[in-house]
Amino acid sequence: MGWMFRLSLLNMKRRRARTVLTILGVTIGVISIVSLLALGLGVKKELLSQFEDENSVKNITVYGSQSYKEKSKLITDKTLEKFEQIDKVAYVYPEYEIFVSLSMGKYMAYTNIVGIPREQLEKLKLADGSSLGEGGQKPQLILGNSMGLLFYNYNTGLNFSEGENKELTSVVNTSIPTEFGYGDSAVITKFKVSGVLYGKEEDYSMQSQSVFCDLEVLKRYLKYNANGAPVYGQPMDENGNTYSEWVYTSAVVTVNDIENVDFVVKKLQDMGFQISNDKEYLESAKREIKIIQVLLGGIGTIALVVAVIGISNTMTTSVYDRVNEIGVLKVIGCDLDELLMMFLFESGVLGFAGGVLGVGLSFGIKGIINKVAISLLGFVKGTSLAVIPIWLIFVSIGVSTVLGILAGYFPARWASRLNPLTAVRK
Amino acid sequence: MEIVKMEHVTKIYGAGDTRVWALDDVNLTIDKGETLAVVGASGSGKSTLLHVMGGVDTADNGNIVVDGKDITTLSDDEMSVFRRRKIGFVFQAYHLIPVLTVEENIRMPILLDHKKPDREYIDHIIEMLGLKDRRKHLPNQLSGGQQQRAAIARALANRPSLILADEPTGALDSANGSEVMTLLHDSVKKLNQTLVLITHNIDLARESDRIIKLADGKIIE
Repeated sequence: MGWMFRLSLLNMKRRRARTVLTILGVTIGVISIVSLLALGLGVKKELLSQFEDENSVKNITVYGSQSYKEKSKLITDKTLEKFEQIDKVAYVYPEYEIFVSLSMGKYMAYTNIVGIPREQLEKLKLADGSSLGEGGQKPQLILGNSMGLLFYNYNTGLNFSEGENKELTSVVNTSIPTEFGYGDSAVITKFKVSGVLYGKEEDYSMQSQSVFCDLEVLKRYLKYNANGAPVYGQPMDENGNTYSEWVYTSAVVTVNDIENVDFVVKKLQDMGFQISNDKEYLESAKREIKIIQVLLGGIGTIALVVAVIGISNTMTTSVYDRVNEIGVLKVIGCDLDELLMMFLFESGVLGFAGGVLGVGLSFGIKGIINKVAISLLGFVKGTSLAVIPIWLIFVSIGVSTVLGILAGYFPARWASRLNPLTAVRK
Repeated sequence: MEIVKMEHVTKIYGAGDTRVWALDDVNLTIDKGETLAVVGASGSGKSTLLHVMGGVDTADNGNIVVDGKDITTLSDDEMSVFRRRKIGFVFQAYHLIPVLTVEENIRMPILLDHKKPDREYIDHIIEMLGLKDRRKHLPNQLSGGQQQRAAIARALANRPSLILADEPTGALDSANGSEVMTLLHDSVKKLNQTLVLITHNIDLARESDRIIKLADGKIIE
């Protein structure tokens, strides 16, 4: 067996220029396909980063009505039970939002406090030094990571982050003035900030501009505060009375699988509810990604096809060159499949070498793309437009090797079927 | 003891009007250790005789038994095995593999048979054929005579049953030619091999134990 590899390598060495040029062809093919795929994958990552994660697509937010004219569309515990009974629904939780104004020194923010169940609160990722706070009498607040931009000084026109040069986490464990309600029922109190969400200020998301608290504590506090009068934020019936049941602002319905989101959305809409869900945005983003990838992959594939034709051409000439040698090997008793294997090994080496070189150089190209992205497209330093995952390294080297072997197959088969007599005839 | 037995062997090239009887009902027996010279004009069927005997070409009719085996029934793969174990070829144009050294060329038939070369035996043939100083050289660094000696060494390497030489001195001048021929004959005798030799040179043919002459595919004397 060893002789085959040795003979292959010696022959490649003898035709050094041809070998190098063929490998160069494969290298260019691999570089183009890997760089373009890297770009495609980077763009995909960039486009998908606006969605927290794929799982958030499984969440459907259902908005309840606040009007007595649509009593069936109020979201109460009974409605939640109905949602839970819908096929394919994994679980359901309620949200209760109140509109407030918060102040931190000279900075004010008009925003909603969103009460969610404790077990949902526990799923939030918090910045260092933060906690969910204890139950207690008053709700404790968890500020979204972008809230520093929302607190605004109406005298200087600067927001908290610009004006204070302090991290938002510096307000953790302080109590901040909170105002809600209108006219006679307006309440001015102080809520303690127990935490800040993990993340950079500029990382916007649905959560980053919200304020969260424990739903049960919020409900208890608002009921206690109302002291028998209508609770803040609760809708009233035609007679001006609140309902006996608690009415939530919205509910989050989580579907068991992304595939079933459309089904559950339809059910909820049939029940007359307004809903919102990221799936459509995600799908359109994915469509864009697919188009970009097909485009980039297509261009790369053309380069690779040219490279494969190059290998095939080199192998054909190599076989023609060595008709005599092949004939001699056959006459002195070489096994046909070993002869075939010798040529396949040779074309495989060409593909493999081109693959390794191509992948190596692609890292250089990737660096250039990312430098350009940072300097021309305004990407944040450290982020990348082109990414080469580890699987891509192995897949490209593997594919170029296999393509090399395939490209060599027909010339190799021709060689192994050559009549030894034609080769060695005088 | 007979090593080759050919009975009613026929080989036809072409069809219709251009039909050529390269071998026409040939019967031939060769004994072990015998050296046989085949002479005849160009196109008389000498080479075809050698090729069908060595299993690089197939006969259209008749039986060819080499070392007790009827080779007309072998498949292509079995034929390869037969050639590397039983036959040693020597060609007019040497046909060494250009990228391999002399020694590697000589060891090739053994490697093709997936065996480990017997160092002592290989050294012995290299010495016998006067290639000791040339074993690390590539074929194109050798003279024609030296290349042909290397090709003879390769033919002997696997201790075959039969050495087939097709005008081995055809490309050499007479001095080199007779030197190579003497070495070939000496080696064959020393190793108790059987040799079938095609030649135009009647003087060289006389060194053989027996001479046959071919014309139009028939043995005429």
